[in-house]
Amino acid sequence: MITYIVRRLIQAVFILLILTFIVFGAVRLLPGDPLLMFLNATDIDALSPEALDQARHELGLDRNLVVQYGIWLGDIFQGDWGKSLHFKADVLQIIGQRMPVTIHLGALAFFFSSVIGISLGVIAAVRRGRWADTVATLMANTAITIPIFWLGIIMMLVFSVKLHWLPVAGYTPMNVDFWLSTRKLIMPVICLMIGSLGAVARLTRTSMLEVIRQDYIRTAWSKGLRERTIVIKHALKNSLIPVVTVMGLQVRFIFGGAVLIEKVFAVPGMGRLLVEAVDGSDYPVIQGAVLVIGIIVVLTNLIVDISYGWFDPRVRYE
Amino acid sequence: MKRFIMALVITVLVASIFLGGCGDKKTTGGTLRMITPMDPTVLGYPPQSAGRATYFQYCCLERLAIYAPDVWENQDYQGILATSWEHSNGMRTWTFHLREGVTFHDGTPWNAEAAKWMADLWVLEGTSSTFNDMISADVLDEYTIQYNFNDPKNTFMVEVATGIYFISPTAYEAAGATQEERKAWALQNPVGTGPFKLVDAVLGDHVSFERYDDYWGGKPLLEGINYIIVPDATTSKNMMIAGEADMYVFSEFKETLELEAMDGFYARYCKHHTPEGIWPAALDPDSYMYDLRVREAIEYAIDRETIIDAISLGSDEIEIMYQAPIPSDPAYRPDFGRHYDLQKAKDLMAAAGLENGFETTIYVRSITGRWADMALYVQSMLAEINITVNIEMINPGQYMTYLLFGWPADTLFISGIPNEPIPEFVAARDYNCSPPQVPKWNHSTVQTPEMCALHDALGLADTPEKAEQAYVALSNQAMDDAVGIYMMDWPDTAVFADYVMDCDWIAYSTKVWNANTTWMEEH
Repeated sequence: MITYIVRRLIQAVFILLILTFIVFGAVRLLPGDPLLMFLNATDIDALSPEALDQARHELGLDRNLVVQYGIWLGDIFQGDWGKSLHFKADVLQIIGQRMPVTIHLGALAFFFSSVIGISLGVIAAVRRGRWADTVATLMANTAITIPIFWLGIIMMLVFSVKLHWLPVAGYTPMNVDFWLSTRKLIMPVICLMIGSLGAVARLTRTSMLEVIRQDYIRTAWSKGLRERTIVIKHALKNSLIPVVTVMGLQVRFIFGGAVLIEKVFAVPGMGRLLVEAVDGSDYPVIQGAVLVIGIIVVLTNLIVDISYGWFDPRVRYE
Repeated sequence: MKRFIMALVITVLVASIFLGGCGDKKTTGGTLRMITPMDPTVLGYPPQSAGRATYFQYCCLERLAIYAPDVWENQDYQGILATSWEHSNGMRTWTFHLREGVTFHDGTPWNAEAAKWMADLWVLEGTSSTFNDMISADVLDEYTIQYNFNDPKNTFMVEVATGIYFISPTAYEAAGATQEERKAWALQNPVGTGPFKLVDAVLGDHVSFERYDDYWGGKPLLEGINYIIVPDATTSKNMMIAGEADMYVFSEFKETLELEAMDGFYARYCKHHTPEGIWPAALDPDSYMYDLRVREAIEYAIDRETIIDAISLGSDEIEIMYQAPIPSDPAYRPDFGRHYDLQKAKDLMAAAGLENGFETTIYVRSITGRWADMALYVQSMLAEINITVNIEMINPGQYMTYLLFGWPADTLFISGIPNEPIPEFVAARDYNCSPPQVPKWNHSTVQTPEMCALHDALGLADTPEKAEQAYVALSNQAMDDAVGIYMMDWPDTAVFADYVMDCDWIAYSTKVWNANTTWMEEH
């Protein structure tokens, strides 16, 4: 087991190196000079080719791509993630401000999509063909197909503008005002989790239907075990392996969805930061953000792989 | 009966006096919640403030002078940290008499030493061509500072009024052991003399200010100001409707019109600040567009009225433009303008030997939807004179690179043209004949020898009268040379809840906000 984890961690390092190199190269292929992005008309007079060359040199933008990558990587290991071209602040500091927000939002979305999705899937499978199955399946299908941008706007209009139940947008940390923080996050979390919820529910239903047809489940029924025991203890655990795989993948989708949801609900998280950085060719921020998101996704996949052994003891790590 | 009538009259009089008094009373307190789509880039280090950074500074940092309300008509300024000023030595020496009794937010005094320190910091940073040309900043007495330059600075007041803010030398020097440390601190910590001082700034979320009670102009009426960063226009509109914000600045045009149509809001349109147009790349003498007739033909083939009618969403706030100067400008020519005339366009193309047209590209910044619409119309209109136009969307970085370093020869480029009420400043920038590779505004437009000579004359003008004369001649020459195709005067916009009072945000300039006069009625 330990050997497996170590091997996967070494693999993860290579994956991250490849990912960062691709992103490093790709952002530099974008047309346009990032130094010029944030100027206004009155700045133009002050520009001289020498001053621009100097600024480019200070930021290392005048060097060979591989050399730039090597320097950036070396600096990363020393804790220097560079300075944002746009905000003129340390990238690590900016990510440190934004990451907890997205984790807060994403963790809630992940938790609720998993719990509600699995519950819906189990109900649909156990009550197959009955009204509960119909309702649960309908809900799951609706959840998958609904466009989250549209949902966000509609919820905003109904719950904030018309009913004044929830704030329209913004983010408040939990430690500042727990109740306000919760109210502000209800709509973004629903939007972010809705797609995952549908996918998890559908997969859980399919997986559960396969498992409850197995002989050992029939044996459990014939032994007279209670339904709850059979479903939760014997069927659910065994049906969760494909579901957990999908849940691991949902982490990526949550980061992807955060790009949109954070903009719509004015949540100052990583998704919005990344979009703004791409729009502004803010290389250091793009690289830093992709690295952090990459680490999280890789670690999540590792945790998912390790969890297989718990769900199914027959799985061996070699 | 007499007594009753007398009593009634007195009661009515007293009531009217009382109620009238109530109406004049300004409510103090409250925090103004202002939506803005953009984050600040720099808050407290003026030599690196640019573009979007500066408007966060309006309430906390101050300038020597700002534009006066009649600036578009009279090119006038109003003193802020200076009470008066004069120039001498052919506009090479500028002397400012500073306001007394002003303190920075850290309690230290504002005086000529602080002004000199700031000028030296600009020189050290090297980000201002004006200060790069400074010989010295001399303290004449505690409240008089004199700037001495090598060359005439006939547009120095524009820079004074738009970009030269002052911060506390004491706070800055105490912020770190090295220049790098001090600068890093100052970038996010503005310590100025303005009516509000910074409380906190969270990138992507908010920037909060609180009232500075010792403000020289009297205690501000608002308790605080909270800029809320909301990038999405629909969300911003919903926040205004839900009562979660009091002001929405740099609002999207569509949302501005929608909110204005609702009860409880008023909108403001600040004109003349961002004319928009199409610029032919005509720098290369071998290019088709170097030929004046081709540039004129393109302009005659474009039907501005149809285009603007389509993209203005039915609003009459968008004005069609046929030349850069506005009607109150000394260079304005009432009868000038290449109005849509397809036959004339065809004749000019034929005269240039291009009746079969040519193929070109129009570059459009991808994030500005109305420019994409404009490009589509231009594409179909130029097809009428056999010019095949390909539309290419470019990202903001590419846009700025093209703008300052040039776009390919014989192509068209759509851009907004930041304007200032002082036309000499704008003409000096837009018709600058700098050598290749030196960045300049609208880099690839034609440079005729006549225009370049007039530009030089403007730079050397050492009296306001000579500067105006030179400007008028240059502006007229640029019109005759068909340097660019001005299309429309697209206003900057803001929406206010109707209880926001005496707020002069973009009332006449996008570079001025006297935050201390703003107050809110009870709501």
